[in-house]
Formats: sequence, C-alpha cells, structure tokens
Amino acid sequence: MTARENFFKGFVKDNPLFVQVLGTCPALAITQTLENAIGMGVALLFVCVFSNLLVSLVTFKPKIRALVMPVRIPVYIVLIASLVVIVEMVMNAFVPVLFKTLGVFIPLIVVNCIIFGRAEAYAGDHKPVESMIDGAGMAIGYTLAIMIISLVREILGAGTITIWGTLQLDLNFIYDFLGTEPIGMFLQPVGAFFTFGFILAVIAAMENQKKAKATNAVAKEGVK
Amino acid sequence: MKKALTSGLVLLILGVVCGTILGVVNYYTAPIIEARENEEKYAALVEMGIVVADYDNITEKADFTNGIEKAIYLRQGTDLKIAVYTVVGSGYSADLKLLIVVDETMTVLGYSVLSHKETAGIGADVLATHDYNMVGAVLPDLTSFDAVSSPTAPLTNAGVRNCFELVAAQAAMDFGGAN
Repeated sequence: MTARENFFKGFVKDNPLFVQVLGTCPALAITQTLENAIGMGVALLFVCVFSNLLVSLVTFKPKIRALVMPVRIPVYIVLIASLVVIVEMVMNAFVPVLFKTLGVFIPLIVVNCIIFGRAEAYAGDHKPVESMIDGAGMAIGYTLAIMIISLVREILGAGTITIWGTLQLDLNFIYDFLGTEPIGMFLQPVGAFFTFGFILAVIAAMENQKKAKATNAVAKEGVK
Repeated sequence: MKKALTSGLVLLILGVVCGTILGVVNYYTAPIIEARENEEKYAALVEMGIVVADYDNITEKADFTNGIEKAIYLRQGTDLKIAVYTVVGSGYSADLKLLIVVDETMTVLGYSVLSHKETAGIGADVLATHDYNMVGAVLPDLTSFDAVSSPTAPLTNAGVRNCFELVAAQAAMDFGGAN
C-alpha cells in the first residue's frame, strides 16, 4: 500500500464512522453544530496521529517491543490517556467555550474505538511514519464524517452553519422564502440518529448498486 | 518473577515520562485556565463596573448561618472596600438568590438576581424587569425599596426585601457598623 493509499483509505473506503461504524457516541452527541465537529475532529486528529506514532515507536524496535508486548494494553492506555489530558488542558486554556460544549466527550476520546483500534490493529505492526499517516487519514475521515452529520443537523435544525465562534452563515432566509421554520428535532439526539441512519442507508444503497452493476457486467461478459 | 518486575518497570518508566510531560503542559496552561475562571467568577462584578484588578486582596467566605450563602471581600491592603454577597431569601414558590454589592460606605452598588423559581409571567417577570430602586441606597435604610410598582408579586417582593435586610445586617458587621 502506498503512502497515498494509506492516507486516503480512511476518507471513504475504510471510513471509521460510515464504514467501520466506530466512534458513534460522540458522532451522535456533539454534532449539533459544524463548529463542534471541527473541534472534536482537531482533538481526535492530534490524539490519533500521536498515539499511533508513540505506539509505533514503543513497538517498532524488537528489543523494546519484547518489553512492551506483555503489557501493551496498559501501555497504550497510558499513552492515549496522556495525549487526551494534554488536549483537554490545551482546549480548556485556549478554546474554553468549545471545551465546555464538547464536555465529557473530550476525556472520552481515551475510550474512542478509533484510537485504540488503530493503535492495536495498525500502529503496533507498522513503522512510525506509516502509522502517523494512517492515524491522520483515519482522523480526517472521521472528522469529515461528523462534519457531514453536523452540517445536515445544523442546517435542518437551526438554519445556520456555525464554522467557528461568531463566523456563522445564516440560511434562515431559505426557510423564510419557503414560509416554514427549521426542524428543531434535528438538534436533539433523535435528529442525530435519523441523520446517521439516513447516511448509512444511502451508503448501503450505493454499495448495493455498485455490486449489482458489477454482477451485471460479469453476466454480460459471460453471455458474450 | 523477573518478567513481572520488568513489566512493572516498563509501566513505571512510562508513567514517570507521561507524568512529567503532563506536568510541563499543566505548568503553562494552569495559569491561563485560572485567570479565565476568575474572570468568569467575577463577571457579575465587572458588569457592575467594579475593576477587580484594583483590589490586591480578594477573599471568599462561605460559612454563614444567617441566609448569606457566600461573601467575596475586595480589599486594598487591609482595608475592606467592597463586599459582594450571595444571599438567599424566601420567594413565592421557593428560595430566590440575589447577588448584592455593597461598598465601604454601606452603599448598594448593584444587585442582580442569580436564580429563582417564581411563577412565570408574574413573580419571574417582576424579577426580570422591575427596578427595586435600591442601587445607591445606603444600608440599613430600606425606605427607597420600591415594591409599590410591582404589586402583583407581593411575596416575591418580600423575598427580595428580605435579601437586602440580611445583607444590611451582615454588611454592618463586616464594615464595622459604618454609616
């Protein structure tokens, strides 16, 4: 696998949220605004890249690997938890509003399946640079996925797109033009489930269509 | 046995390294977090035009038994200049909580309603909109207290008045019976 393929596999093919269905709790809980999704994505990117790097560093050299492997789970947890605490302290200091909005989901990055999954499934057996690329690709893929969910929810639920702080696009004129109002339900947890389920259904439909086309093509080849 | 020791040592070293790194990050972020938290804590004072930075000694006291929930004392040197009281009085539905700021001359610099459970549309509206005409009043004189123009919520008014009475008593003790 080339570095490029390694990086981009997390975007669509192996997307952690839409394909592997990992990290669903924060994806459903914090996606009321695009800003939340971006903030969570940046935090996850930092933790995922550096946890993959550190896990790879402590398992790459055979001598160190022999020491670490018997206690690899606590080692991974200590490394990931330390990175999450760093993110928590930095966010609390420099972006307090976002820190309060994301709330418990920042410390819960420690138990986010994506982080631990990549550490165990990829970084433990690959070189540091490859692991960092994998971590970045997966984290960006996850971020894009939660950005899509948050965009749908915020536009339908509030008629706005909050990019960061006061930088906000107000799309309520569309609702005014249509003589209706945003659907507040989309800002509630139920709206998150609807959006997530709908996106998964669309992806499944596209996959089925792709498979059907491939089957038809094979069948046509067979007829010829 | 040796394996267990080695594993323990690995975790110990990792713990020390991670702990040190976290300590360094905390060293840089803790003052920023503390400053912001203080800013939020004293936001009500800033809204009332008090420059918190002018006071070199800010202390808090919470062990009151007379209805005062908490007091923040702002001193210049050893001189008590301003006292900020969080006080609880009995409203119509439940307790209502006020923040009342008093200076060294026992003058009320400002007040705000921190929380209440008064009836929406009646007591709650009075608390939100009514001016009790107490800013500038010199405690313990409550003759300027205006409950007349909000007669729809007599118990709410009584609760607010009660808060000012409690603060007047406490301020008299704190400022040594000034006035």
